[in-house]
Amino acid sequence: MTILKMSLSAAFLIMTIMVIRILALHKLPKRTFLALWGVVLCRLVIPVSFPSRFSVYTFADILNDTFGKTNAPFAFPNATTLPVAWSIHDMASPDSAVMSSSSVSLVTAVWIIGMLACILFFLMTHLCRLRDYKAALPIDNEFVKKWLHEHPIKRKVAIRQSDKISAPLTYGIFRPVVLLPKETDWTDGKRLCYIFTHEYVHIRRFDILSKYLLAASLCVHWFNPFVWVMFVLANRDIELSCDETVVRTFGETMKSEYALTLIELEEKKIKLTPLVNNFSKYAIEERINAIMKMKRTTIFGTAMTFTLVLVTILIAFVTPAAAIETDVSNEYDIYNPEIYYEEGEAVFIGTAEEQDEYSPYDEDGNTILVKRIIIDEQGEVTAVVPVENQLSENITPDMTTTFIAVNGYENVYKVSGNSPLPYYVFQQINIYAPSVWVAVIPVELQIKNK
Amino acid sequence: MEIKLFDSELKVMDILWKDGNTTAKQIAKILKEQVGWSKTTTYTVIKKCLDKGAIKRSDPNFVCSPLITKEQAQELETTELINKMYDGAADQLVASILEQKKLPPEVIQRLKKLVENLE
Repeated sequence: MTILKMSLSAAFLIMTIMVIRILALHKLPKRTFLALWGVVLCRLVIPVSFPSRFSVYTFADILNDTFGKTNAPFAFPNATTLPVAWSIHDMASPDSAVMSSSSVSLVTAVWIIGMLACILFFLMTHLCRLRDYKAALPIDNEFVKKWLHEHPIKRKVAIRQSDKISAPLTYGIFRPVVLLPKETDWTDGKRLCYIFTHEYVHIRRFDILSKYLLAASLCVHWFNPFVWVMFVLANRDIELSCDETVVRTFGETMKSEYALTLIELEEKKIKLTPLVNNFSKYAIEERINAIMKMKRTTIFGTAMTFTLVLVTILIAFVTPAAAIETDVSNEYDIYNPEIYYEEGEAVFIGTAEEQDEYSPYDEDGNTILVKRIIIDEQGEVTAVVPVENQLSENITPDMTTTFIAVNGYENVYKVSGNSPLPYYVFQQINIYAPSVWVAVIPVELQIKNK
Repeated sequence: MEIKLFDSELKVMDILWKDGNTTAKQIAKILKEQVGWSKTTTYTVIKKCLDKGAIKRSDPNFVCSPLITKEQAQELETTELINKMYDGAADQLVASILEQKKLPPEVIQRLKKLVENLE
């Protein structure tokens, strides 16, 4: 699958989740959405679909597709095995193939440049912030000591304060640090408990890691507006899910207090911030609503969650596979015998063995020359021998050797006729991997005589 | 002349005001013990102080000397750094671009009402 295909099927998923989110944000456990975004993340980064015709070849093809088209010249592994008397013709002439491959590489270049720009942007801003965070000062008060003592986590958690932030936050995966604004009110134990619990839930769930993954997938799929939407929504849902856990921890009676704590944190921010505008729906509003409308998880809710996640996984990883199958028929047109002859044209279509047997004569005993289209057992074209490339003598190959070409198709034949000398009809030989044109063997490079 | 300094910068200044001229290396050592900063972090903060003109560097040995007195240093109020700040993890920046994060007072009121009503 190409990045583009992955992006497209992910876009479809994201749209679906957006709809579910609008319809049922307050009805489903918030973890549902995290799981759903998780599925999309997998779809965005894992270039495999199930069920797919999985083999080494499709794997090679995936690599090919993912990392750009290669036009590596193909060399026969063994020069003594003489290549073909047949020319493989196809609709895409080498020239047009070269053209399209150069436009593909332009697209690839733009994609890579965009990706690098995104990575640079995220990395720079993130590192700048980290530099500020690292210069935070330790806090040494009773509340912090007590908290650390009562809430042990395997990783060592540091609690610090900074005058460069206006809301509490957590950073660091292996050595997490909870950073509090300088103006934190250390006398309000209850609120502090909420804030700390919230940050601890983030730490325990490795939410920072999820955020990194989201940012990484955004960098790769920067051209996809849906992935940007996902980035924002998934980040919000991480908060919503965290809030949910906090409320469950303390019991639903504290919902309002918790909500008010959050509002107050926002209020503090305003004091510090000039107003810009107010056109959009605020994330905090959604958050407050989510907290206040939180209900006990019902069996129905849990069942819905499982169903949704399961269905999404199916959509994500099975439909694209079906899509691949359709693509096969489109993209693989070159394997369709029908495109190699005009209506009414006399042709022979058959396997290599069948064509060995095929030698029509007219009344005078002369060979009738018709275009020969050689197909394999699946009915896919492996070679086309136009009339011009055939000799008028009766060519009955007395020997047909085949060997496996790189792409796994037995499309190279060694043929000798029944004339005194074996001869070979050479033209260009094109080798195709299932979807990519990988090699041309021009006449000059083919061995004419043994 | 008054210079506005962050807490982290004041931490460095404190050492200079107390001990007088000190090498950057020594500052880093003291702060490592005091607040657990890495050498890089300390040097970054020292550089900020240099840029703001709060300290002077003399070589060799990167000796730092304070250019201002404790009275001239002001705590920077958080209000003043807001425009370039955003909260939360750095990767939230995109979110803050795509959505409005600062709430006008009337929205705060509305939210408080919401909490009351839903209770």
